[in-house]
Amino acid sequence: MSKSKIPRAGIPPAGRRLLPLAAVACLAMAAQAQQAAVNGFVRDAETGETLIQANVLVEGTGRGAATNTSGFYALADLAPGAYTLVFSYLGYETTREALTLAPGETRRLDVALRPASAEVGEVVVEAEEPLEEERAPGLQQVPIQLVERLPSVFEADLFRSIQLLPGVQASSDFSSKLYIRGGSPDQTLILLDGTTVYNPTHFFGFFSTFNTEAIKDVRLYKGAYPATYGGRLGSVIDIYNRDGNRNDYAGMLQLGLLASRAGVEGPVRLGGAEGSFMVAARRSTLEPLLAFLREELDEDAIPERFYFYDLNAKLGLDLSPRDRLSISGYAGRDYVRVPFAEDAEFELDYGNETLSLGYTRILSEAVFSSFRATASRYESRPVGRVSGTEFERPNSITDLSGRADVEWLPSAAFEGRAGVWGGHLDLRFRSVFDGEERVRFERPAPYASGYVEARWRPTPVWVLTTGLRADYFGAGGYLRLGPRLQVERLFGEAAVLQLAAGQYHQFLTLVSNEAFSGFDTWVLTEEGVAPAVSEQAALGLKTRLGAGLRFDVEVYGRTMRDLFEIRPEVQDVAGLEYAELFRIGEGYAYGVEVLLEKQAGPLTGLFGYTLSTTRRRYADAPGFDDWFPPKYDRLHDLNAVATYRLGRGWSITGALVYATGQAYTEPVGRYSVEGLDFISGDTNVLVTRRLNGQRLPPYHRLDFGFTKEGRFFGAGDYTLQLQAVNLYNRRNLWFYTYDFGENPVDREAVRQLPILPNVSLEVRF
Amino acid sequence: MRRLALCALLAAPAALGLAGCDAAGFDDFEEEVAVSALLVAGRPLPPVHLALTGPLDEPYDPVERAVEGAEVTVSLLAPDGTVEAAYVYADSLLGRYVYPDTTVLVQPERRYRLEVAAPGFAETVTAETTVPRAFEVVRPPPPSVVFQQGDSPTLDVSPSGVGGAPAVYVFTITSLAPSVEALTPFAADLYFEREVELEDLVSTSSPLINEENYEVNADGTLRIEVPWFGFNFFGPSEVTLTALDEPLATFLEFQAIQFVPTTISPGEIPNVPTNVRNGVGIFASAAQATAFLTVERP
Repeated sequence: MSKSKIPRAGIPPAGRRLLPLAAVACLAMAAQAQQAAVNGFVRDAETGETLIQANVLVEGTGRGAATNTSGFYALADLAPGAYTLVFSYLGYETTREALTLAPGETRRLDVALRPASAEVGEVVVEAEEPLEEERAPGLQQVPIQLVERLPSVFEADLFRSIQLLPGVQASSDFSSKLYIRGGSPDQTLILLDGTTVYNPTHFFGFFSTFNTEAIKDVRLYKGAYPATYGGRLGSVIDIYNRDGNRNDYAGMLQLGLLASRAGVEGPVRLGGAEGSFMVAARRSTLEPLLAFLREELDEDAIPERFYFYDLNAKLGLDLSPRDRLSISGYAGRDYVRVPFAEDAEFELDYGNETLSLGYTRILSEAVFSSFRATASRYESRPVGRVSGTEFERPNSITDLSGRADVEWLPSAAFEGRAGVWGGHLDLRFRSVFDGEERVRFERPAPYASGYVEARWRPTPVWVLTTGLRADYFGAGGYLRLGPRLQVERLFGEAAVLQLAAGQYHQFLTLVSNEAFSGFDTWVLTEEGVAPAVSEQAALGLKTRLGAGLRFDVEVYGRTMRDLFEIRPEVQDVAGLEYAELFRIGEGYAYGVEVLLEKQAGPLTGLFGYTLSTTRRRYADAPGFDDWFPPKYDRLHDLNAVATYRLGRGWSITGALVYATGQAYTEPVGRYSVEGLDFISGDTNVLVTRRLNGQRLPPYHRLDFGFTKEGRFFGAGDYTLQLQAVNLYNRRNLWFYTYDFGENPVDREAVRQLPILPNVSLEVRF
Repeated sequence: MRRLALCALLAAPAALGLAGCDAAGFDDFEEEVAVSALLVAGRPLPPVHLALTGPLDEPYDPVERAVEGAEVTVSLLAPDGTVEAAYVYADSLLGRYVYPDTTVLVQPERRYRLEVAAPGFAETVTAETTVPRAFEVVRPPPPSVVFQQGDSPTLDVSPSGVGGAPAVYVFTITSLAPSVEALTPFAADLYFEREVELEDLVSTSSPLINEENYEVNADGTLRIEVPWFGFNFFGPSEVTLTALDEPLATFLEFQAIQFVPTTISPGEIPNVPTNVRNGVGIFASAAQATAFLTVERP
C-alpha cells in the first residue's frame, strides 16, 4: 500500500488548457477550500492490477464511490476529521483504512486488496457496498473466473458464458454471437481497451476472439446504456485487458483439445517510470488431428489447412503518481483452405487487429481525465477456385479514432462526465470474378460524437443521472442526439429501484450469416439510408438478500426503427442504387429478467430467467412485411449455473439451459414451376403461411465439469479440467431442410451439438 | 426487503407472461392454382401449365394435381391496357394448355395478360408480364477453345431489358454431346466421387447477373464472359443468355433463399412473391440469345 499527498497547488496549467470542465472544477474546488478529499487507485495486492468497479465506502457516513475503468476513485468535499474507508471487491478481502484529513487536504490513498483464497471465500462480504454504484440498470459484470470454470466446447469462451446471462440469447450451439434483448449481434458495441472490435469471432463464429487469459474485466450493458457509449442500438460489451503483474514475473501454459495458450507478464521499469507488461497468445492445435482425419477418412470436406491464433499484449507505465501511459494491442486471424473436389478449393482468411494508446491523468483531487487513440481493422478475404475460375470477395473496415473523457467528482451530491470521440471509418468491398473486378465499393466516413453526463443526489435516497449524446456520421451526413435518463431510489442499503431510458442510434449494420461469420461485411448509412434508431426503457430492482446473495429483477422495453439490412434475396449487387440494397425494418422487444446470484461460500452460481418477446417486420420486403418473431425470440429462457467447492482443490460446475424452441417457418404446401429450361437446378417452391409461425421443440442442455487445482511438481500451480458439454446428449433441433427428391417431401432435421467431452491442463508458474 | 423482492419475482413474470403468450397455432394448407408459363420474345406463345398446390406432407402426384377443364386466355395488351388480341388456349394433357397456332409469336417489349377460369375456383386467376427487348449475339465466341488455356471465351450481345431498366441475365451452358468420357476434371469428381447424376451435369446455369456486371463495348454491345467452371463436358456446347422480366427475377431470387438462406436465419422461409393474382406461380417473359462453341481438351 502506498500513500502520498498531491500538493494543494490544484489543477496544473496544462490540465486547464485541456478542457473547460477542468476550469469549472477549479472554481468548485476554490469554493470548497476548507474541505478535504481522498483519492487513489485500488489494486490487487498480489499482481498490482487495478480493480475496476471496486467499492470505497466512508464508514458511518453513507458516502461511497466505485473505482472507474482505470481503478481510480475520488471522494471530495469531505469535512476535515477522522474517517475509516472500507475497500471491497468481489473475491477479495475487505480492507479498512483509518485516516485523518486536515482542512484543505487532499490525500492520495492507493490501496491493495488481497485476493480471498478459495477456502475462505466466506469472508468476502460486500454488505456495505452502495448498490447503486456497482450496477447501473442492465449492467452485468462477467467474472472471468466463472468464464474459465464453465464447461466449454473445447475452449473457455467469454461470449458463450455471456449467453448464460438473462436477456442474452444464442442462435445455436454453433455460434458465439450474442442476441441481447431482442437485438441482433451487430447492435452490440464491442470494445477492447476502448477500441471497437468489428468481428469478434474465431472458427467462423464458433468462439469469440477474446482469450480469457488476457482479460481483466468485462462489463455488459444489456440496454439503456449511459451517454458515455454510443453508436449501437442495443448494448455494449466493454472489455479490458489485464495490465500484467506489477510485482513479479509470472507465466502460464495451457494445453487444450482445440487450442493451447501461453502467457507471460511482469514488472517493467523504464527510466523513472514503473509499470507492467502482459503478453498472452493462443493458437489452435488442430492441424495434426485434421491431417489424420483427412488421411484416414479420405474426406475432402476436411480442411487441408486450418488454424486460428490471437495475440494480446499490453504495456503500462506510471509516468508519475498522476500520469499513466498504456499501449495495448490485439491481433487475431483465422485461416482455412479446403480443397473440396478435383480442381476446386475454397480459401478464407479473416481477422482483426486493434491498437490502443491510452493516457490517464489525475487533473486534481476530483478530476480524472483519460485520452485514447485507437486503431481497429477487420478484414475478410474469401477466395474460391473452381475449374479454372477464381472468385474473390475481399472486404475490410478500418477505424482510426481518438477520444478524450473527463470525470469530475466534486462532491457526494454531484458528479459530471464529458467526452468527445472522433474518428475515420474506411469501408472497402470488392467482388472479383475470373480476374475481373465486378464491384468496387470504397466509402470513407468521418464520424464524431460528444457527450455530457451529470449525476445528482438531491437527497440520500434519490439519484438522478441525465446525459446527452450527439453523434455525427459522415456517410450521409447525419447528426443525431440521444438523450439518456436514469433515476434511482434507494431503500436502505439492501435495495435500489432504478429506472433508465434513452434514445440510441446506429450508423452501420452487419451483413452476416447466422451460422458462419467468416464473410461478415459491414455496410454504412448513406443518403437515402437513414440511421437506425431505438428507444429503450428499463425498470429494475436490485437487492441484496444476504452476504454474497443478490436478487435482481428488471423489466425492459425497446423499439427499433429504420433498421437497414441487406435484402437477403439479392444475388447480384452490381449496378444497384445503394438504397436498393436494403430492406428497411422495424421491431420491438420487451421482457423481464430475473437474476439470483450467489457470489460467496462453497456454493456459488447464478439462476437467470428471462420472459421476453421480440418481433420484426420489413414493410417494403415481400415475405417479411408482417410482424414475425426472429429465430432468436424466446418466450422463456432459463439458465442455472452452480459451482461447488468440494475441498482439496476439487470443485464441480454445472450449467443448465432451458429455452422455448426457436421460431421457424412451417411450409404447408408445394408446387413446381414448369418451362424454365434455362435453369439447371430445381424449380420447386414451398408454400408457407406465417413467417416463423411455428416453434421447434424446447431447447435444453446440461453441461458439467470437474476442476482440480493444486501444485505442479512444486514448479507452479495447475488447473485440470474434465468437462462434458450436453451431458445427456440432447439432440436439440436447429432447423429443418426439405428434400424434394423424395415423395412426399422428406423433412430432415438438422441438429445441434451432441455430447462433447473436454479436457484441459493449465500450469501457472 | 425480502418481501419486496419476492413480490417482484412473482409479479413481473406473471404480468409479462400474460402479455407475451406465444400462440404458435397451426397453419392450414389451402389448395391454390399454380401457374407456369414463360413467354420468350420472338418465339411461339408458350404452353401454360396449371396444377394445384399440394400438401407438403402427402405424396405429390402430378396427374392428380393437374388442373383440367380450365379456360385459359393469353391477351396481347395495347399500351392503354386494352386487349389488342386474345389467344384462347386449348386443353391439353395433364394441365398443359397450348395455343395451337404456332405462327403467333411473342412480341418483344409488349405486355401480355393471362386469364384462367379454373373449375372449382370462384376467382379468375390473372397475371401480366412485359416482354424484355429482343437481343442477339453480335459477335459469337470462337468456334473452338482449349479448356482453361488463356482467358474464358466471350461473346458480344446487343443489350436487352424492359423499358429503360437494365436487364437481369442468366446464362446457361448446355453440353450437346454429354458422356462420362467427356467430363471435365471438376465434373468428373462430382460424378465419380460425389454421386452426382450425369443428367444433372448436362446443363449449368449461373445465378442472376445484372447487366452492369458486363463490360459495355464501344458500339453499345455487352461483352459476356463464359467462365470455365460452367463447362462440365469437353466437346460441343450451347451457351444461352436469358434476359428476365422483373417478376421472374424476383421469383427466382426468393425461390433460391427458400432452400439456401443467405443472411436470414436457417428455417426462416419467406413465401415466394408471385405476379399471379388468385393463385401462385409465375406468368413471366424473357428474351434469349444463343451461341455455340466446342471445348477442346488441353
